[in-house]
Amino acid sequence: MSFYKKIMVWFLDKLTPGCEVITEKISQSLDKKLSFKEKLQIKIHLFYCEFCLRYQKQILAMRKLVQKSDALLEEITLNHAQKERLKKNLKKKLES
Amino acid sequence: MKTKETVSVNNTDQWVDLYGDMLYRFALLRVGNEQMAEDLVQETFYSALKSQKTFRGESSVKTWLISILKRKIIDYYRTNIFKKSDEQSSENAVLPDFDLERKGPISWREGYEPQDLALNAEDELERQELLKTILKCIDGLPPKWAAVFRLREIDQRSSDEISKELEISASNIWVILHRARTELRRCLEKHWFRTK
Repeated sequence: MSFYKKIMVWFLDKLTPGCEVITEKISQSLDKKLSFKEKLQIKIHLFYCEFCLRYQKQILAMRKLVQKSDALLEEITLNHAQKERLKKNLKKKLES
Repeated sequence: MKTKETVSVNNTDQWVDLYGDMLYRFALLRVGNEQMAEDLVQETFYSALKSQKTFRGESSVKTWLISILKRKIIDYYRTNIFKKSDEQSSENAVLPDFDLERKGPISWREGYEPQDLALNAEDELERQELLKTILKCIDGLPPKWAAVFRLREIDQRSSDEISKELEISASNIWVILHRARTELRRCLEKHWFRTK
């Protein structure tokens, strides 16, 4: 890391909290509206922290995919034994 | 008057054949346990049979059954996962991912730094595989975290709604979601590929 880059990173560091706080804010940004200051803190931090940038990408990718669970996993079905059990129990219940 | 779809001893089999898979899939994705999912489907059919007189036919049978099942799943979360007596809360444990003693602006613990994962699955098959891996990771979360995460991300319920349903504060929900996502991300790193 060059001297100037070191100085810049030190300076940026003074402006934003550490990754443990930034990841919390990144996570919260998926659930509520953040303040202008918080958004700015994230922006500045992501400017030099590729790990938190990956964190953001990954939790967003997970969200996108998980939302489609019901449609993507149509292969999940009851097996024969489960179906028979359900039918039997329902009949029993109705007759009682 | 229009004839309503009713269930009798003669066509409960048909109900299981028609709606069983859909309800089971819905339940399994939200409770992550096959036996529990099957029980919930059974209870849903029972309730539907008991209350079929109140079914007005304003929605489809499918929507009606899903709404009953959703209620059952929330009840399951409340009574089995968010029991009042359960004082032990995992959300206060320190996350291992960060090293607060670490000097400099970046506080990820060495060896825990997020790597470049190949998450832009292009074909359907790869997306399914990735999703299954994520779901397995969700099953490994503490039950409370899994429940909150599923409500938020699979059902896309708002923090306020989850807060009301589970009687926990919104700020607690945000803490849980951050922890769940951090843990899931880490789990995914162990079980998925990096970009080449």
